[in-house]
Amino acid sequence: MSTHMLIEVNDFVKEYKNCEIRIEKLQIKDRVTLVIGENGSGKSTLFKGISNLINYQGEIIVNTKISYMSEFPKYPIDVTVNQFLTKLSNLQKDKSIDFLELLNYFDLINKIDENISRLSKGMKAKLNLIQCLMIPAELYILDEPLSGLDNDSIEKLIKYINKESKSFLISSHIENAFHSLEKQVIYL
Amino acid sequence: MISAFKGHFSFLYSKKINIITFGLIGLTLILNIYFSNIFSDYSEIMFNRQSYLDTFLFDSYSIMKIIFILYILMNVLYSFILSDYDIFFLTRVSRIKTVMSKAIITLLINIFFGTVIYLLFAIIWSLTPYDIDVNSLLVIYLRVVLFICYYSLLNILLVVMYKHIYILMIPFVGYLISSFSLEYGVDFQSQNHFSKSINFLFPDLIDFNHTFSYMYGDVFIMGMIIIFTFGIIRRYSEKDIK
Repeated sequence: MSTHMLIEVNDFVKEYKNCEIRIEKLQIKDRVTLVIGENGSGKSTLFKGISNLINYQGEIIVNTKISYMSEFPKYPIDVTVNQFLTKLSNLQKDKSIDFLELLNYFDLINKIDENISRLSKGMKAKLNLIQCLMIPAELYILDEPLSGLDNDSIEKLIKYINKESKSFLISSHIENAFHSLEKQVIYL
Repeated sequence: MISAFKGHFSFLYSKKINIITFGLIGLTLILNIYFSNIFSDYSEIMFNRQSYLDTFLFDSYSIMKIIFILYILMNVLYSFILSDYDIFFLTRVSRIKTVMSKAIITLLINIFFGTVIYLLFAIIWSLTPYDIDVNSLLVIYLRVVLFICYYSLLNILLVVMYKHIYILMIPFVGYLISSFSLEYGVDFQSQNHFSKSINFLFPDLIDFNHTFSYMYGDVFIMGMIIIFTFGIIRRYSEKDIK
């Protein structure tokens, strides 16, 4: 278990037209943290706040380099898996994580020259995971990473999280899938 | 920043854009050839040379401007609404780099389109027996580039602010109203108040005092382009990413 504070949230408030997300205090210091909550409880909002993608009131202190995976990203039109990951890799200063290894690990290597629009929902979910994990970060923030994944892929992800020394902050509806991981669980 | 340009370019310049681009270029080329009367009887062309030239310029510039506006609308829609993949860039580069590189690539594709169309128009003009002034052709080209920059950035600003397909109709409809309200060949002072007001927001490039120019001048257009650019950066930096 990690001992230093990775993320600290104080008096977080995000107002939407119809609702308000409020988190008084939250500390994330374990290597794996699972955030559990119903729809609309604020999991995605919290993650976006941590990743500085939304405006909010309150304070979020991030003490580490993060990589964020959105739950429902839109992919570019008419681009192959290889083009997509190559161009994203070129945006990174640190290219130490090879996306080919990740494609291989998540059994997507045979789709490397496939147009993204032709991939299934599950394959797109894996691609989303791969583009996030190819950023050399200390903390990976995964918003509903199990959504669209089959059982084999879920197992692979759990194994990947287990073998890595990096930290993970994960939101999910399904707590059971992560039973084999030593983790901190936060209920929103 | 260069890698952000390259990334956006390969994500945005797709086969679909190519097909639409070359389709519109072909359509404009055919219309410009038709407006030039190039296949009319030579003696008839020589007899009506000045009036044929005036009609050719008016019709060609009018259709080219509408095609530019439609192309800009389509390209901004494609780049900023349909290709909403920014989240992948934002986890790697800053917001300013993400939006500026995307806006500049969209702008460059629009300018390239405008340049090809204008070049073909100039070639058709040079093939006619009408008088051609290369200097004014170059000056008008620069004004066409300003026109494309103005409407591209105005569309991008509106999309960044409101993120809605129908918001893109405002510059298109605004331009059409502005264009139809102007009296062709009449100087600035003699235009009515409505034309003067609407040209402030939706400027048209028309014949004022025997030269194609803007009602409020090139400097005004450049100033607005700078304001739009800062507006895009500011709004994009502040907004929530969905």
